[in-house]
Formats: sequence, structure tokens, C-alpha cells
Amino acid sequence: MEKNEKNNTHQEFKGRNLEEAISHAEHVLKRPRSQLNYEIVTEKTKLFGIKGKEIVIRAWPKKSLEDSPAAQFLNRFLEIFPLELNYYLKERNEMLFVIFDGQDKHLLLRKDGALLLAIQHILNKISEAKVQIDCDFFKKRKEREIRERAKQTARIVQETGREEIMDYMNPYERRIVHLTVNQIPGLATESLGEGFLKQIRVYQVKSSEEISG
Amino acid sequence: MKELVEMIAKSLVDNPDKVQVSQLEGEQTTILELKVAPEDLGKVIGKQGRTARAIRVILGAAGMKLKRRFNLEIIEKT
Repeated sequence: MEKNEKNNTHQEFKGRNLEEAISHAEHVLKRPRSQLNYEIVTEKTKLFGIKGKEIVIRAWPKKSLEDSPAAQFLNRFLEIFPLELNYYLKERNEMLFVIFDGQDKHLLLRKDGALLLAIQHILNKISEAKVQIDCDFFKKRKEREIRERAKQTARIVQETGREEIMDYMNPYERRIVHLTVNQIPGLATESLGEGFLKQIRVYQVKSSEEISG
Repeated sequence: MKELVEMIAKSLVDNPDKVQVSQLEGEQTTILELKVAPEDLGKVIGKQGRTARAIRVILGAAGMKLKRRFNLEIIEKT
């Protein structure tokens, strides 16, 4: 009884196979299957095979992105925030992407994207899913810039044979540097310090041939 | 702007009913005093003050648009 009550918002659908049951659910709930969640309730072969198999599923619409805490926050926020901004949401690999646009988007990108990152920080505090914000391919441009800086530092280390210390970076930026430099044979990286911002040491390592020789 | 700070703070804390913001108007600067329950202080300040800094950046951007300076003070509610 209790169990029925709990699931009474989730309708049941029958079919001779899963495909048929899902099509049935799509038809009744008026949503494509990509927007439906379902679970199999029973699956049985009917006695004597007269009617063949029967499968029962329970299906319900997936929550839309507009219902997410992040979207609800953004809608209220943009109503009172004096900047002219609008956004759209995307979901990929359990991550929520917010892409901003609008008349005042240049203010989002000032000071190395300070406002963009500030809004992202707040959203990540209130959202269950990880949130990434972007505007005008800021992230892509930033990543390219950091990769270039990492490669340049790597070249200096290779040429001089001395280590180089790269300026303070956040974890996301450091990850790009580590990945970029460690692709180059003979070089390694290490984060220095404590806290959110750390420096990175780029240095030469002896190759395995040199060590064995 | 009071409304903005209130809305952000309320979505961060466990006790939204204990969030209070008062606005003090100066000549060029508006001071916004944010009061939260003691147990929510960490929520609005964040690790190494990152959340408080984020709120200040948001206020700064709003201020730039409105051509006014906003200062945020965070106060523990006793």
C-alpha cells in the first residue's frame, strides 16, 4: 500500500516487449524517450505462450533543466542584477553548462573573467551538479592561452636545463599546465605551496636511458 | 542592491529566515550589512573567503553599471 502511494505519480505501461512498452509511454506522456526515465516492473512469459511475453514498465518525465536549482537561482538573480544578461543551459556528462550572452556580457569577462567565475562559484555552492559558465568562448580562449604559456615555459626549461616557476594559478589552470608539460618527454611538473592558488615548478627529468646508462 | 545580497545569501545558507540585510547610504558608497545565523557564517564566507569575495565581485559589477560603490560587511547575528 505504502509503496503504491509512493509511486503513484509514475504511471505503468505494458507491452509485448520493452520497445512496445516505451513507445506506449512516449505516446501517453507525450514526451520522446530521451526525456523519460523508466524502470521495469515485471517481465514474464505468459502461460502456454498463448499471448507470448508481457512486460510492464513504470515511466515518468525527466526533470527539465529549467527546474534545476541552478536555473531557478539564475532566473531570480538576473531579475534583480542590474546587468543585461541572458543565458541558456546545457547538460553533458552530469555537468551543467551555463552560456551567457547579452548586452553587458563584456562586464562578465573583465579582469580575467572575475564576474563569470564569481557567479560560477555561487552556482556551484547551490547546485548538486557541477556547473561551468562560459561566455564568448572565454574558457576555450583561456585554455589556449595557458597551454601556450606552459609550452613556452617548457621550451625555456629545455633550452637552459634549469627549472622554471610558473605564476600562481587555480586548480583548473594548473591541470592544463600539468597535462601540457607532461606530454613533452624529459619534462615534469610539480605544484608548490598550499591553498587554492599554487605555483608550478617545471623541471627536467633524466630519461630512463640516461639513468640505466 | 539589498535585495540582491539577500537573495544570494538566502540561497547559500541553511537558515534563510535568519538572513538580514541592511543598507547604509553614504555619499558615494553604499554599505550593505549582511547578518546571518552563526552556524551559517562559514557558508557565506567560504573557504579562504572565496564565497564572500564572489559576492563582492558581483556587487562590484553591479556598482559599475549603476555607477556607485557597494561595500559588503558580513556580521554574525547574535
